[in-house]
Amino acid sequence: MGDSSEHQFDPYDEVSSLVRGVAHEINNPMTFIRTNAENLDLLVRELKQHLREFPEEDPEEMSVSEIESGIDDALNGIRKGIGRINKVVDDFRDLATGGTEFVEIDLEDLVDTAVELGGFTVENLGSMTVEYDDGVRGCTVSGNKMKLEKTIINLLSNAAHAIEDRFGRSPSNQSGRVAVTVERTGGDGAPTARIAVSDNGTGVPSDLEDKIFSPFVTTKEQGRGTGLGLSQSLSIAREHGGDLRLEESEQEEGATFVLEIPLRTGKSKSSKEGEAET
Amino acid sequence: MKVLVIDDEPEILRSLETYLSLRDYDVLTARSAQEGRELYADEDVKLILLDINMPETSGLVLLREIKNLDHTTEVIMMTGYNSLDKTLESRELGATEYLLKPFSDMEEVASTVDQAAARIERWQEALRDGLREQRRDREDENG
Repeated sequence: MGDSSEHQFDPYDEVSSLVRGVAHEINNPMTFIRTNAENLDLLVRELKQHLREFPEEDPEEMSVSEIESGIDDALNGIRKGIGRINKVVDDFRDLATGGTEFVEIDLEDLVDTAVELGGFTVENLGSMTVEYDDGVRGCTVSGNKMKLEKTIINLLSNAAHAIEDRFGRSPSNQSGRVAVTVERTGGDGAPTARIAVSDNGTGVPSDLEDKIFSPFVTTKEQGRGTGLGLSQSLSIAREHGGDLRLEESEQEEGATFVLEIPLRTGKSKSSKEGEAET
Repeated sequence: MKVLVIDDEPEILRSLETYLSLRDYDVLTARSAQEGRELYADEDVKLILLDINMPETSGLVLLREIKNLDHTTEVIMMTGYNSLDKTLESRELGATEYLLKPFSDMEEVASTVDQAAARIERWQEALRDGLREQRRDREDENG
């Protein structure tokens, strides 16, 4: 079906471009607030070294350790605030870019782009492999590209965090392994793209396995995850008629998350232009 | 090691200047692609943090120029989520990495810069070894 709504006034588009504009404007101040908070932290650490050289005398005054813990609390408060603002901006941006419009997306392009963008977090921790089953070559899915990309990037970022939690982050330690496999399942009746992201990180704690897709449940230390990533990702998967689940998890061995999205039956790359499927 | 930060937002420049100075980098800053271009020409800089979205000349244009002049210069792009498509383009143009603004993990900023610096050092070391070897060969030839 062709698009005949060119240049029509759409209030959704108006709000959406406004929100994107605001999100863009907030990016820069957020960047320097975040960087300055880190600078303060580093400078205060330096200051603490100097303070330790002074004897603590007057019991009426605040002790050095009290000042230190006050500064730490203040910095944590700033970080938390930034995290929350980031989150609000992200949510609004999702709302603005989400829309209801689904387009035909080449599956390999989708996964390649997400891996290109999200794989960066993994690269510094070890190695990553991406494998495509022959059955998915040239296949397409119908959906919102940005949302689906974000879902895969989120899985990769979770994998990176789990690896970092297990092995730590240092250039000399490259023990992290992430494998992304893309397969076709569901037979001809309901062909499905199965995108599995496996890591050798800490795994999901067994008491959280049932709850991990609920909002605000996180295994990450404070300030690193909002706890909304997997619940949002699950709703994105469902919006696309698919699913997201934790397939396997072993403590201190790793986890596998699987994203499933229905495949369109048409092929893309070779026949993208010529095919007139509905 | 010298690092050149190019961004049209002065507060970002100031905060990154402090952040990287605290990590022992010698930081130069530029508020536009033009200023960055001039500093790159005048100074011996091999490591650059470059904002993609800047008025007048975009970071992508400057990236292309820099990579044409010296492909070994490490350029880390900085971008907002709105410009992720441009990030892919910057990769194709030879950018080393990208940092998404606002930064969510400052350790990631530090490790990205440190790794680029380490690559430059390795490259320069290899170059020095090569030159030393050439000189030795020449000396051997001359007896």
